[in-house]
Amino acid sequence: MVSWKELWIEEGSTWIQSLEQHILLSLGALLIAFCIAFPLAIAVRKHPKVANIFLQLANIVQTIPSLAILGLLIPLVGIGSVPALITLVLYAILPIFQNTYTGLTTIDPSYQFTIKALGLPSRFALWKIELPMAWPMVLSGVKISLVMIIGTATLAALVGAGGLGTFIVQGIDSNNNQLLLIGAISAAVLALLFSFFFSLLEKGKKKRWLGILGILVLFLGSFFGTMWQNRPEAKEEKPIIIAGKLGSEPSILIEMYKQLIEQEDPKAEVILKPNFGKTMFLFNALEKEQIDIYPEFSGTLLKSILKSKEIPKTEKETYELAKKGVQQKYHMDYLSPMKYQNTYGIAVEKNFAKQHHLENIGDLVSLENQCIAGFDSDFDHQPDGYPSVQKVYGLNFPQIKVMDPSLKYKALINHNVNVIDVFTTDAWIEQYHLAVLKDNQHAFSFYQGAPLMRDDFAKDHPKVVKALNRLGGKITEKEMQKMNYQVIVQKKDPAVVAKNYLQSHHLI
Amino acid sequence: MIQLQHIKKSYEHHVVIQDLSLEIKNGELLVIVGQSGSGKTTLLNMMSGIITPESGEIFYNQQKLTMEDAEQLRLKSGYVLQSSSLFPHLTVLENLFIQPRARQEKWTKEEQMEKGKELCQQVQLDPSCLTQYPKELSGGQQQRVSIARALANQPQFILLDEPFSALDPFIRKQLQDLLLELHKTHLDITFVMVTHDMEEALKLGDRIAVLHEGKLEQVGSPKEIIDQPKTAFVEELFAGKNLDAFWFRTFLTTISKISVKDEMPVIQNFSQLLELTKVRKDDPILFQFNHCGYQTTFSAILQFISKELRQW
Repeated sequence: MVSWKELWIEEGSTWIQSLEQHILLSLGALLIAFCIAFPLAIAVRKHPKVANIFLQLANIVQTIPSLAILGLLIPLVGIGSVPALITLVLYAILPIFQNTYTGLTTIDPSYQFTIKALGLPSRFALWKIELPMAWPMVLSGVKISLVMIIGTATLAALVGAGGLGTFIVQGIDSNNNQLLLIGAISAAVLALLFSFFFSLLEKGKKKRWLGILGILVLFLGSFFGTMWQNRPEAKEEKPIIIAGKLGSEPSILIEMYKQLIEQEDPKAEVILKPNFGKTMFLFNALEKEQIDIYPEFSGTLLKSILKSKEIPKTEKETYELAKKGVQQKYHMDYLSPMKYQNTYGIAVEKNFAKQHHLENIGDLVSLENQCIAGFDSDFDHQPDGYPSVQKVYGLNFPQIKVMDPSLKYKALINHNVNVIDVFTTDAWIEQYHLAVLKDNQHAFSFYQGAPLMRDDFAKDHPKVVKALNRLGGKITEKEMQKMNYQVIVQKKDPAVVAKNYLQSHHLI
Repeated sequence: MIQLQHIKKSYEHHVVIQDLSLEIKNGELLVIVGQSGSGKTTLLNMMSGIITPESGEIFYNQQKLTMEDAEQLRLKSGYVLQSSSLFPHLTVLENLFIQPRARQEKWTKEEQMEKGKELCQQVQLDPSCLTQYPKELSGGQQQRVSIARALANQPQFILLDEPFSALDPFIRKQLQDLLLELHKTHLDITFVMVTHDMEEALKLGDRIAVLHEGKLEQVGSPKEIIDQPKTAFVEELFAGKNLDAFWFRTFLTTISKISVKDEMPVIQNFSQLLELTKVRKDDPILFQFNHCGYQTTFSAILQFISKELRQW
């Protein structure tokens, strides 16, 4: 844990950028939703049957988890701000539509009759009487939408649209509660601030409203302005886009890719998109040619993408199956894998290992009654986690504490537990001087990293393939742990860490 | 002039208005009176084109009323409703000018304020209420604003649907007097009013149309209705209604408006009295004289004046 002050120095500028993205995304979505829902509600206010259909539709959309909508949108519109914006807009429509419609249709019938009796034309009545009377309802709908959007917009980080959710997702992935809290609290405070701001407006007069509209339009203008600026430019030589999943390890790897490619082909333009989301988003982005390369694990390809039922016996077999699978099914090229594996592991303190001469997981069997295990819940119940260890090694800990990933290491250092599960390249293995026991009987699946790309891209870029293949068989688990440690704990720039490695191993 | 010719209306086999014809003269105050369920509001709504009659025709100044121009007609007319017809989000002044605004008439703020003050005077309202919102006014004040709104439109026709029935008796009387006053000062406006209050009808109407189960039982002056009821129903409806009592009250109210300033006028004959009270020759108030006779009235006036004089 670093102090909050240090964290601010480290993450301050990222935070401001994320906040800006978050606000732009939220307000943009709000304005678009308003522009759809408000006129729609006005249009159907005298057609209850049609209005009901829209209400039902909006309700159905509301019940779909936002994550699912994001997932459904990716094959259609790809990744980035667009699917995030669409999802938020879909969510924001209902409260605005519902409140505008209800506000307009629940005006006291005696006023409705007066409008008729005075012969007021319907357009005049709508703008000067009905809407002003419904205004408080409309506003509260907009307020509900805004607060909801700000909350939901944290998910935008999963599809590479940035925002405060970046901190949350990174916090979860890197096991850093401080980051997670920054993201969550910022989003909550932002929602509260906007809600408060709106309450002020509800009492306000027309002039204030025009001001707000102006600000919104300005925001939206700058939003689309940035999007326009960042649009992929139509160059003869298209840049090579390399993306990486959330976390330090993919960020380091893609920096290595970049440096290797640039060395091989100095003219190549490489664009990096670190922290770009999770497996499915990246794979879809690759398929849709929004990115060109990303590092993926053989085990993940086999399980999550190819949905293979086979249980390979060796890492080579895993890699070969994955390579063949993506080649046949998706026409993708899976280049040479690196040496290290990022899979489940069982770790103890180094001193503890020395004391009891522990080397392999199997060595724990004789000690199992003296051990207290601290596992996170996924590891505890997933078939390729602890259950597999039990089956392969006949290991049965009498006492298992299921705990949050972030607490595991603390518990081990404080001797509350003496065996924990880890990922084999975790930075904390290095930080807390842990020993990862060898999985010599292969209880855990094989996860070897390698660059994944479309095969037409590979054909068109032989230099890229050549450059990236140089990483084949390189980087051990220890080395990866150390690099993760440098980025996560020592806050070094992934580019620098990558460069140091490549240079010290004479790869560049 | 409004003419209704063979108007018919029914709701789901229930006949509300059956074959009704009526002619309303320009500048008169016609009261349509009937018990609840007699179809009087339906009749008024058909007159204004809010409801289309099943059959029959309506003419405004010899022009046939169609659905298309009914809205235009309403926009140019006045309409006073029972209650809560002022829009709560608009100030009294904004409420007054809602129809001219909807007609896209150009009024500056100053012009509106000036006209607003003039209207306030006509309906006896404090001009300070112009900047207030309707909920800040009493029920009586709100109805005065409603009436002023109708006048602000400079209409040819003002329709009133039970305008005073939600008010307490004292305020109701004040507003009835106000309406009579306005009728006197706005000779070009035709008033059509619906009420279930027989006394109100007798007091206000130049003519009264008695509606019963969708049919007109009798149309005539208050005197005719009382003296020569055409049907047993009319006779029963107005039985025991004493014209004298409230004519007398009205008259006293009227003469109480004679300004008592430097010099108390000496009233020597009846026409001088009429001049002083600004009563028109065809004013319904004069029925009283036919009815009660000069003697009683004149002595009552003298009594009143001497009482006033003593106070003075």
